[in-house]
Amino acid sequence: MQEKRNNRQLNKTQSGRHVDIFLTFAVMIVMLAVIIGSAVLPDRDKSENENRFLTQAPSFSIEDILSGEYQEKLEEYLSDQIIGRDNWVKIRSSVLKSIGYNDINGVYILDDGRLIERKTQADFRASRFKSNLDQVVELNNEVSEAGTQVRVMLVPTAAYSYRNEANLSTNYDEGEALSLAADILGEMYVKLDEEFMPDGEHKDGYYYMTDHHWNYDGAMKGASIYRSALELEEKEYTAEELTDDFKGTLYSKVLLSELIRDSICVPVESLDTDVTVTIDGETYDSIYFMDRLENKDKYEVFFGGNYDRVDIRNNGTETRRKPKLLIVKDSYANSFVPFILDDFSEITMVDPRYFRGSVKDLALDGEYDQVLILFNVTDFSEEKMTLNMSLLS
Amino acid sequence: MVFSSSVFLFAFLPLTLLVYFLIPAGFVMARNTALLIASLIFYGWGEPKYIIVMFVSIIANYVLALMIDKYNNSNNKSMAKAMLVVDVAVNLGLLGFFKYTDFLIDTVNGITGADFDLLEIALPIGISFYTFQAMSYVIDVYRGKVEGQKNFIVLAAYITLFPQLIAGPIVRYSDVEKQMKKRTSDKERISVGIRRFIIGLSKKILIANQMAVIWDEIYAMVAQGDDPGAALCWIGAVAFTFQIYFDFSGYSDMAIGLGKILGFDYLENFNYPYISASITEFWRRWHMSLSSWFKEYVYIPLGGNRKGLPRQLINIAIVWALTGLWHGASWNFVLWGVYYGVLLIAEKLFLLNILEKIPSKLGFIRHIYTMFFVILGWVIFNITDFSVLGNYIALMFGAGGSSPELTMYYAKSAAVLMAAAVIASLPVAGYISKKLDKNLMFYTTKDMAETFVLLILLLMSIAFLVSGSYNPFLYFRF
Repeated sequence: MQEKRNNRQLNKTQSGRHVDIFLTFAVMIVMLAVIIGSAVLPDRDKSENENRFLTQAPSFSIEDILSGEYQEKLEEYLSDQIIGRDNWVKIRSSVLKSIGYNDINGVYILDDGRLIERKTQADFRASRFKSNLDQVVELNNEVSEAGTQVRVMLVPTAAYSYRNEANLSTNYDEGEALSLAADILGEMYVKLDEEFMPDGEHKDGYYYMTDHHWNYDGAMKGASIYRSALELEEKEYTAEELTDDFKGTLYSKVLLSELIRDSICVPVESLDTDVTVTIDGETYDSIYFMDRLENKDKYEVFFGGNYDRVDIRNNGTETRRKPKLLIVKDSYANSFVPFILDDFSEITMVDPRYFRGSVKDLALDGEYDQVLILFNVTDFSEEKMTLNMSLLS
Repeated sequence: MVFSSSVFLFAFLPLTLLVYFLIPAGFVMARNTALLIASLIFYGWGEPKYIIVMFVSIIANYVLALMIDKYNNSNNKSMAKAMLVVDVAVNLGLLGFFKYTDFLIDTVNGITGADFDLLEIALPIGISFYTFQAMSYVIDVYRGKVEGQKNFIVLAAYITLFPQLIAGPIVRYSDVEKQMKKRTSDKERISVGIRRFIIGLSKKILIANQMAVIWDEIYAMVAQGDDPGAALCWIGAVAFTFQIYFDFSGYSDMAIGLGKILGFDYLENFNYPYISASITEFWRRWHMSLSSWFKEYVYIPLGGNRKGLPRQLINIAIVWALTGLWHGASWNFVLWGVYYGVLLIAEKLFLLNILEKIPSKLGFIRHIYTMFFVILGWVIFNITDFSVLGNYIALMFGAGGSSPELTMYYAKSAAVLMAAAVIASLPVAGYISKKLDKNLMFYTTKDMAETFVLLILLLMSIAFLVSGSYNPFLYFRF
């Protein structure tokens, strides 16, 4: 019996040896492959999927080492430039999804593949939301005497629109935020709250599947509500598809290959409108930057992205007598403007994230008839707005 | 530097091992020197200026231990004792200054209404661990248990050794004295070490970090005054219970694994603490190197259980207040220590007797009792703000409403993760492995399967490390 056990022990060690060596070599090969692969491959400047510049090799200096900056940069550099970076992210997403996670990297994944941005109560900055609303009230007090009308449209997020259908229960209470806005803004408030619920007619909904923005139907609906708030006539549009290969910002966060791709449509009427667009001193003859369709973030086809200020002049002969509009906005306005292009003689878009001047002075000096504050609800709570004084100087 | 970082995994560790193994095993002093340099880089990575603190600590302990040794040999007991007091004062002084000054100022401000400015000095990483290691060495020299180490590099390497530098286990000098002079790394040790390291890395990155997200979100709801309901508060508390175990024991696994690769045998630091059937047993299985340190250097010198029950109870109370304080400079840690002191005293006086009367068929009651207090303990441990802490505990016991949808959401997300954590908290893998070992037929297949699983875990850990910016490290507070 004793002998038998010894025998077995011996066998174990022998076969154990093979496995020992196998494990050691396997781990060494994996690690070396990652290290050498990452070192040999040229460093990338930019991650298209993450829409950001990747950290480059930090330069070595005693000063940076003592301050710890070199060490921080090196960690970022190694993570950013690791071989197959996106694939590692995909592995993580697939694992989390397969073990039943409802959300990955701050994005809910619905059963039909729809992606929705996740914002919890802790993410929502209620006090900033309130103070931004107060800014709007103050702006209205300043400009309404000059005859300028202020209107506010807060676009509900997809999470709010789909709250009855899907498990989005960790999201913040957007309904509460919207009713606060309605209370504070009174007649300025153009109510969109319940308008973007997916319904029979628009079962594809009003938002892109892979991006947080509203889609063609959403922007068109927003424009139609705005137009009726200004008592302008109803209009019909025809959709023209610019691409069917749009993978939006939410896709980039999740990077699951099985996800659906979106199409970007625009009203065909807006393609033919004769406009002069001025951005940073450059002029363009279209609101569309078709070359951006080659890039990852195809939503940039609208105006090429976001700027501090964009001026759009409608050169059509009948538009001379039409009113002037100032839009204080986030990126939701970029796909909204095509639907109201023909209703105004001039449209100026100002993005308070970048615009340093005073919106109040701009509205008064530019003699705008209308000011439209157009934001997604969450965006409206994120940055502190200063509308009534200049940040220059 | 932390183990779960790209710099460590893809640069520091491979380079260190390369240099280390290029030096032949016979040149152990050269290997020690290489380890010392590597450890200092590892230590100074986040805050290079704290290398000075480390040197002060090493030099003080080196010199004082040799002096104690000298006085011991010349039978000058009183001078030896005086030097020991100086050494303990230096170590506790460093620890006290960096870790507890602001806590003291804050407490004084709170009591007297004074307004002294906080120093706001960053805590040198691992200071709680390496000062305790150094003290164990000097006290053991004083007790004549080990000889004073004349070789500065050997002592410096022992104190700074990077595997256990920042999160333990607290390795006693007496345990590695021989290996500092002679050690080997054979194929088997290296593969055992790699195995252990990967298991630890996965515990930290795949389980602890994911649990952290769940806890953080639920905690955030309570902290900002929302009421997530009792069930969700329990899910949060359980998530943290797993987070701290997998984080801490994962770190110990990595340390023990790295030690094995380099030729050191560290003692185990965790022994499946969550299978305990009493609090007393829990503390025999949790962070064993700390409990045994306090037992050896505080509890027993105080008289332990040899001076009658009342004195023993006082000793337990002292040890547990100190244990609490060791974990962090905040009153909730003291409360947490006292909480365990009270539970352990109660078990000593009567609870253990009652527990033992429970028939073995109903043994699960003892486990439920233990885990109930352990989970509650972690809530106390983790919430520094007493009003939030009170609120959280009240909500756990039904002071609020309920939110079934929210609870379901987290339950669904966390179900598989929690199940994995439960299995990994039990000695299941070891049990299956032993069963299979008895059958020779499965032996090779089992080991191949194990290797395969380890490789998958390694790849998944890299994936989670590279893509998850969420990689908080719990032990900087210690």
